[in-house]
Amino acid sequence: MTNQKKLGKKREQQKRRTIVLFLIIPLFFLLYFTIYPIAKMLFYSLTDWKGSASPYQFVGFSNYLNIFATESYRNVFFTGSYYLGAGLIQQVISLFLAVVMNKKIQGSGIFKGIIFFPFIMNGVAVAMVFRMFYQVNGGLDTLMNIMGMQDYIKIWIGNPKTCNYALALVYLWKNVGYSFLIYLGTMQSIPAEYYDAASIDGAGMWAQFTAITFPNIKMIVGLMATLSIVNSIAIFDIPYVLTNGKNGSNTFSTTLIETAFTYNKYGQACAMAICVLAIAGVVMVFKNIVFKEENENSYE
Amino acid sequence: MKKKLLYSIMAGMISAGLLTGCQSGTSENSQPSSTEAEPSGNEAASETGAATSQRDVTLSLGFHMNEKYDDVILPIIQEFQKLHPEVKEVTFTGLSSVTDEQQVTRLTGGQYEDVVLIPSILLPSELPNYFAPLGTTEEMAEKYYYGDYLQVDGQSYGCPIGVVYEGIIYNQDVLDQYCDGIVPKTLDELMDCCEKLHENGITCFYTNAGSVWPMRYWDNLAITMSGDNDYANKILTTEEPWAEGTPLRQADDLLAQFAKNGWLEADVVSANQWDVSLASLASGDTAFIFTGTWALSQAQDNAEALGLPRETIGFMPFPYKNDVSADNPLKLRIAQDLFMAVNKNTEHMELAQEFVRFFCERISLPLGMNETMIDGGQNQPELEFLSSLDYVEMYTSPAKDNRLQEMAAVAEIDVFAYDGYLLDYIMIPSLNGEEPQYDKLNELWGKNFK
Repeated sequence: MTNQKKLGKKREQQKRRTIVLFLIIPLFFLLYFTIYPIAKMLFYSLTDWKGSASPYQFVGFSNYLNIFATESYRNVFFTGSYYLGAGLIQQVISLFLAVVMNKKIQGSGIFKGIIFFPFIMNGVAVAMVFRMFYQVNGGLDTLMNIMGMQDYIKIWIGNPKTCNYALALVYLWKNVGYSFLIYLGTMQSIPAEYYDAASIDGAGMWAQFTAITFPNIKMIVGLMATLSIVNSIAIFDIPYVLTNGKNGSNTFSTTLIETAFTYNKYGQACAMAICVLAIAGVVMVFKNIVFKEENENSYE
Repeated sequence: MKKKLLYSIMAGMISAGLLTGCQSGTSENSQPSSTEAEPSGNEAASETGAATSQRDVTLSLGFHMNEKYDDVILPIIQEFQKLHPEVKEVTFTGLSSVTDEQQVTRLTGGQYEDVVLIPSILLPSELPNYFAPLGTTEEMAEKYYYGDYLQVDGQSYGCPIGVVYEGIIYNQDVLDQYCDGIVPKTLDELMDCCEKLHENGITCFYTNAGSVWPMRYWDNLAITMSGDNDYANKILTTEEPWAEGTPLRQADDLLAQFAKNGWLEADVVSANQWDVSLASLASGDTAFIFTGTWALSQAQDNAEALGLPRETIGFMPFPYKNDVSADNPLKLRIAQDLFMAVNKNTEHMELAQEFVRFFCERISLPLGMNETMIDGGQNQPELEFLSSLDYVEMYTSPAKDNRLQEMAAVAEIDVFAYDGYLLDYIMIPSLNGEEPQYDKLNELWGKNFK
């Protein structure tokens, strides 16, 4: 009996040792490439570090205060609202498409591919394609000419009134496929019997959606909405390639890059990066609180 | 025992996996310079011994223009190797797709070549942290244009790869058609010509402002207009550099006027339109591009591609004033371009220092620039005519004070650097019927004096 216990203990120890051995490498990478840089960034955000080998001094929280005291930094939150709007519209469109594609439609595989395709394209490539689309006498202008809408043609990127809308549309177009795929995957995990029973009871498509589909995917809706908020602040590639952040299109990320590399204010840029991280954290916590409660209620 | 063996195998596999990605030195963009790089058969065997000899030196070079490696860069390397047979190989890392930001990261990580391009965003005060001095500022300035431009404590750290003239590249066919063939020599002539061009639907100036970097020429125009070669450094002590009557204000007013008149390209915000602008100039949709003469050959290539003679595209000084004569000449700025430096940790310091000069003295002409040597440096053949113009006076600017970049950072106005501020504060308001935001610029610059 004692031997068996010893053997069991030994096996347990060996099991633990194996787990530890397997975890050492990924943990090392996680610490070295994620946790350590964040800690370092937090440290530099409290300094006036000018990059590379420059000496630095501690400046307390003044870099953080600057974010809200400087007009050019504050404006990026306003720019983010365009992407937030686009992100929320993206959720509605992708949810609609997912509901439609969840039905057995002929050729749905091709449609799914078409909808998802923009997401797998490189962000820079997408931005460059849209540069040609928006340029004067480019794709969009040609299309509008063909449709007899030449009176509404504008200098899409060059006009401050249309610039952010044009960029947000690129963001919407590129990411609809991603949300669509997530929604579709979640919907396909809902047992078909629910829908069959609802149909027998005479429930229409809208009733099925509100009574069966949405309650089953609302956690995912919450997650996607959260990601939309975070992405609206962190968006980088589209404004960077299309406008260099000019014409009022500077986002948090493009401003951060400009602050660090054009003006060598690495300490300030670190504070901005920590700020993005904090916003993402707050949004995630908020989402977890809201959707956790609803989730618990739904099981009651 | 079996467990131990299992753990050993696991550890070995993990180590092998981790080290798979490690290799010494060369990156995927790298290529060896010479035939010695890929020896075969017995030759390889016989060279194995030699490779370990201390006389065999391998230098590394980091430079952009990857596409010109075979035609332009390799011949220079081979010429250097003939003079220095101990240099068996010069490995090349193409930096065309490496941004300045990435290059700074390479520097801070210590992963850069023996002889390498200096990223233009690097603070001059940082130069000694990465690079070795190439000589005293006096010595370098005596030999090269802008030889003393990147200096710290009397030592020069950057060797210029060439110099260019700042001025207007124009389409002669367009001027023939709309401006009676007259190449504007005065500001009034330029304005008249632009008016005619605009009436006929021609874009007068393609600024490429969306890409930001092409705007530096408009900023440097203020130095030219001021008549003070050291004007850029004068704003260090000026609380309001954009006050009424200042050269910066005058130069920016000119740009604002062009924008208000609709004389610029329709979309000044979209980035990366350089190739579009050259094609537009060659086809005659655009008349002028204000830039450096390094772009002349590119523009002429575009004209040639359209079946036009290369002479269709010409170069002229920017006519920023009237009453131009030999006594009241138009100033033409000889501008610096990029600089190369020697890694301060190189194992072959003397050879690297010799190579950087050798390389810089030969790379200019094939890249469309004038040679950097003050005595005996050759110019682009297409620009030889400028020396015969008695109403043109060329000048160079002294080294920029290191404080300029620091003050620009405080104000977040990239004046005399990248010059993206011109788009934000001058062009966009002017294009939208508003006044340029000089008060705002003065207010931001004023932060340096509080």
